[in-house]
Amino acid sequence: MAINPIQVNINNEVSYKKKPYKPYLEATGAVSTDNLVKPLPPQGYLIHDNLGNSIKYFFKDIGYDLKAVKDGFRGTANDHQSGRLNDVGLKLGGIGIATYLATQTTNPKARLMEYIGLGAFLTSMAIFPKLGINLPAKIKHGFDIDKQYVDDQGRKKSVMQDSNYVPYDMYLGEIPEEDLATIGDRMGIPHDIKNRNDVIREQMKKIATQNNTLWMLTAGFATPIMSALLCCGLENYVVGPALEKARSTKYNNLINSMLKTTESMELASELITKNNVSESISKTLNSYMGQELPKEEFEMIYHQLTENLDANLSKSIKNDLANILAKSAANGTKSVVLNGDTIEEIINITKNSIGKQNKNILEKIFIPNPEEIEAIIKIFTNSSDITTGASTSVENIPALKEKLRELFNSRIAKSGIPAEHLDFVEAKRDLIIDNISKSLKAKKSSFVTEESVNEIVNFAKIIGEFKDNQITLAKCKSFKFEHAPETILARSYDKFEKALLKELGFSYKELKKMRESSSYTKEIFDKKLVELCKDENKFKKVMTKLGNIIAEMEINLHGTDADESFVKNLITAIENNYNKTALRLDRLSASSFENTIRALVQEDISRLTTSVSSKGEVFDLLDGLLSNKIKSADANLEEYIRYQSRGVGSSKNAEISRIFERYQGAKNSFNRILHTLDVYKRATNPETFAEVLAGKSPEYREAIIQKVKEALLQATASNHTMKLDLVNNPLFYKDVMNSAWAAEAGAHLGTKQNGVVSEATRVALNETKHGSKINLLERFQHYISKFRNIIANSEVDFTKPNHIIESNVRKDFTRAEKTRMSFFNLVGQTPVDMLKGAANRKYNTQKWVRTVSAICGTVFGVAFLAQLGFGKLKNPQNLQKQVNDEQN
Amino acid sequence: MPLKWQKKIITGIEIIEYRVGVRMIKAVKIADNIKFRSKDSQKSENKESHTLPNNIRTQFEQGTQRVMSAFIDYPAKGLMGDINSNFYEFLTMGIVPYIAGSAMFMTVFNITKHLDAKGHKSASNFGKKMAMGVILYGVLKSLSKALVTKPVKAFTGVDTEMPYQNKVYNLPKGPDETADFDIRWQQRKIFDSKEFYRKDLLEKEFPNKAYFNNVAKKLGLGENLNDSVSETSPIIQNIVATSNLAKSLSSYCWAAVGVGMATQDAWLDFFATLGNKKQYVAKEGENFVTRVINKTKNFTKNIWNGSIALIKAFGKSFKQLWQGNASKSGFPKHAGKALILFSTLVTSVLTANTIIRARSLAQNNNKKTIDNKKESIEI
Repeated sequence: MAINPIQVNINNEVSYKKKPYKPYLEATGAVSTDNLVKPLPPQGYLIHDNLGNSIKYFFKDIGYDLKAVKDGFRGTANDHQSGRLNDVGLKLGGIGIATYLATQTTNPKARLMEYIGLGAFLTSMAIFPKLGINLPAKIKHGFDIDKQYVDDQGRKKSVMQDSNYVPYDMYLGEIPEEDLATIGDRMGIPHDIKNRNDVIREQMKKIATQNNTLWMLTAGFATPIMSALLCCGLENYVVGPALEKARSTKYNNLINSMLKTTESMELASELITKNNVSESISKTLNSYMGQELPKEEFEMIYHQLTENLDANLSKSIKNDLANILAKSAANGTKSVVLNGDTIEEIINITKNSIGKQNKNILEKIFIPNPEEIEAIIKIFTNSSDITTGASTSVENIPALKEKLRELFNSRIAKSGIPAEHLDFVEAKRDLIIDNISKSLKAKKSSFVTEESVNEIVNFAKIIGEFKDNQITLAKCKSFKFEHAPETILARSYDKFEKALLKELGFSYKELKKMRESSSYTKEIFDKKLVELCKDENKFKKVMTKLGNIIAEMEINLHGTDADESFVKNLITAIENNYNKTALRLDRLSASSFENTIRALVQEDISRLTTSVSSKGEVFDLLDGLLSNKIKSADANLEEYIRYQSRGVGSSKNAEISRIFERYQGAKNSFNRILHTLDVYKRATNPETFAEVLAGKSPEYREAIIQKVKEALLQATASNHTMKLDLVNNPLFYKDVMNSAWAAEAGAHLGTKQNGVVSEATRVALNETKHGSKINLLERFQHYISKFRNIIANSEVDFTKPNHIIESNVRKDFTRAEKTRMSFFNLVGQTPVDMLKGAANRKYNTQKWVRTVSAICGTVFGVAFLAQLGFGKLKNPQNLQKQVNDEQN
Repeated sequence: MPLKWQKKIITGIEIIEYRVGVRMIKAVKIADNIKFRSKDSQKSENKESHTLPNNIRTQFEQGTQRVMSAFIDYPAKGLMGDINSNFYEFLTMGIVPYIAGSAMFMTVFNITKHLDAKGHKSASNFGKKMAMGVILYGVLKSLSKALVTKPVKAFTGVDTEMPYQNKVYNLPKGPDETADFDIRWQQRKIFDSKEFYRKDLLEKEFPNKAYFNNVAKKLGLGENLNDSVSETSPIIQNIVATSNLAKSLSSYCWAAVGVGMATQDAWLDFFATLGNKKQYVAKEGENFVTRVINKTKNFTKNIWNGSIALIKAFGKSFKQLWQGNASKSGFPKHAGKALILFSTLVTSVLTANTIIRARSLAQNNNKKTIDNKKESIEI
């Protein structure tokens, strides 16, 4: 296509906006150029500022950069493309840094934040000039100083960046901000001067230069600060909740799939699949078939089997393994090593046993010739080749001792010792033989036979599968309950403490003092609670909010289904894993794996699903209100009848107890806060505070209330153990416990008594969104009674008879609920402690945000203020003089 | 007696405090007047654009001039909207956000240590490591460019970082202003632009096409070429483009390695050494001279100890980055190795690409039917 350099005789089709004044040339009647030759319109074009273009060019830029890399590789990249390569390198380096830093932490949120931080940095770099420079400049001067255009070769550039080359010919006036005349009006340039457009262009260039310089000066300060603020906001309000949801879904699905896996574990060992551990052990053992297994190999097999298992279980596995190998040589009876090395050992023992007295003589008598020993050994050993793997059953040891005695006797007889020394010599002989026998018995043989290999490999298969399941289940358990960042309990605790602080309303200064002093925290907490309880609506709002957080935690733990519970499934899966493994080992060989079975389950292979059917019972189990694990004798439990339901001391019990302990510690800390609020509410009306105090004097009541408040706010587990320091005032103690943790009138006895709560609390907890799904109010009332029943009735340390409120009730609880650990978890964290920690964290966050925001505000402020000084017309009097001259 | 240029800097800084006006611009221009002597013109002051030797002294002098101008001179001109605030000055000012941003990052990372007394130590260590990361990022980014430029120069004869000083005249600021005859110097590199590299300077400074002949020889085009300039020019441009890619990508990869090194615990020893440096306490009865001597001795010793600790920490942290944390397993353990190997791979592949592509282009040239050694037209 031939390019016409000029366009001839075209009518002026460009839309000409009617101006309220006549432009200069027209005003003085200059030559009209409408029908004459004009230069061609530019092939480049300005990019208009709108959202569609931003998105379109975002993707186009990525394509351009990739092409720049390709052309750079070929060597055909032009200067513009080489300039873009710097951006590509920056992003590549950033991804490298983010990836490396992410691998250095295990916290899942921190890992994700590394990449989000990179994105925030790049976003800040792009956004700061738009917000801090371009926007104020546009508002003041009326045109975009960072207008982008695409040149005739398709390269996207900024119009005003290079002041020596500004393609003003693209300003065709399609929109007001691209119309030079409109821009000039905004700048205040007089209408009737010569070369008005030139003046406008000069002024635009000047403003652009000033703003570009301002950008260079402020970008370094603004970008890190903006990215820090952006990251802070994203982490707390976007990433945290989203990550929790995603991980929750993942682990709940995993729990269900593990439940299915563990349900379908076959008991017969032929049906168990091989795994890496069993393969490796099989290979090792087969290479030592028919020989003694060296100690290092045994250690290696043991380590492979017990990697990641707890110490108790590992020790039992080691014992069982050693016993299997020890019994293998002699078909079921234990064997000891008896080979060529034993000869030297016997000689050494003899030497050592002789002692210093009459050493020379005795040595001559007792130290045997190696051949003599060898002859004896060959009688008893099970292998003709005694150099390495040879052993003998322990039952042969007495016979061996006899042979040795015969040998020594013959040597004594030959030596010609006088009769009076014979006793001494014979005693020596017996000592030597005993020592030899002891040392022989200590060296258990590890003889490898076909049967022992089979047994051990099956053992490895079973333990291997057990371990794989256990590792997965431990991850699920950890996500829900563990003391680690981003677990469900951790996040719920975080939300709870933040809500408590926010609702009570502490100022920045108060937070600062609180983090430094527990006594100040108690004082101000007391004050705020009294204030809160005066306002009925506010009180209900706070209780509802806290109740919502507890309900949310429960739903995150259990799921939303009315009957199914993920926690129940998790516990059942863990139990299945342990129980089935124990049963498998039992089926394989009850005698060989005795230790391991006991370590796994003790004697308890009951399962939760047989004893807990409804979700309400799951709640009771977690709250420690269920009394027995097996509900009824089921005909299907026939196989398990050999075992009783006592699993304390087993690894299974330890594993599952951890769930209850962690849960109760957190939940009871929340309950304690709710109860504290409730008691303060009840105390606003001292007359009706508690039934047990009816008829007592107001001063007594006041004293009780004071003690109650103090106990609720600050008493630790040890304070409660010491009966709140009321050792010498048991009746007072009784009244304290019965008034604060009061029981509802006519409530039935047992573990599920209802405690007294105020009407406001009752209404508030019923108004929570999901409270009814998790029996929020009822369980809170059960907690109040449990607290009194367990804590007030404990009999440890200096307890007087009147310190015990109701001695029979404690019996209804399980053994597990009466341990020191569960006592500690029932008392929970003191509210003062919780508030102090929360205040510290909130203060730190607020201080950080204030500091960083102040810096950010300063930088933006400087950038905005600088705009006021830009764009001043230099020598405006000259322009006006020009106008005046022309007019004259 | 301070040197002439030092005096001018001092007066320049005082004058900035005066009120704004044309006078300020004229006085602050001193930074541009710092001249550096090139090897060829040590006796007479060179008044034309000229190349400079690519050594540490030049790098230091050019770097100092650019940084000082970027902080003092160019912003002042730019904020006034001076007509002479051109694209070169804008690009040079790019160093301001780089340095200010680094300082800002170091501040942001170290804010947390002031918040919590209990967590002070670990937050402080973290903040120091991150500050080290910012520094090492810049250091390794600059140093790693040599990994590309030195091999390219050795094998092709083209030093893509060859510096020169460019002379420019200022434009008068308005119709009534007098012309400004003072020379402004710009610190540039010959191969800043691929399409418009300073061929004229190369031909002027190295007469008889010596530079291009050398390049032709190194590339394997042969010696005694009829027109080495037009033969080698496209290949030189190709080398500039490919080495730009190599420098851009590999320098950022090594910068990432620098950040990885900074997170290692070896730097805690270095910070401990810095914290333990001994202050000099004057003993009884020491006179002034002895005190000065001892103070200097102490200072030198501290510098020496600090430098040794720095070098040790540098080497140890690299080793720790390579080995990874023994308590981890899988990819987290080998992430450091992966980072270093990736950077090495990128650098070597892209540098090799530069050299091999240049040489193969030269070989293709040699395959042309026209004999390069003869005149192209025979009449």
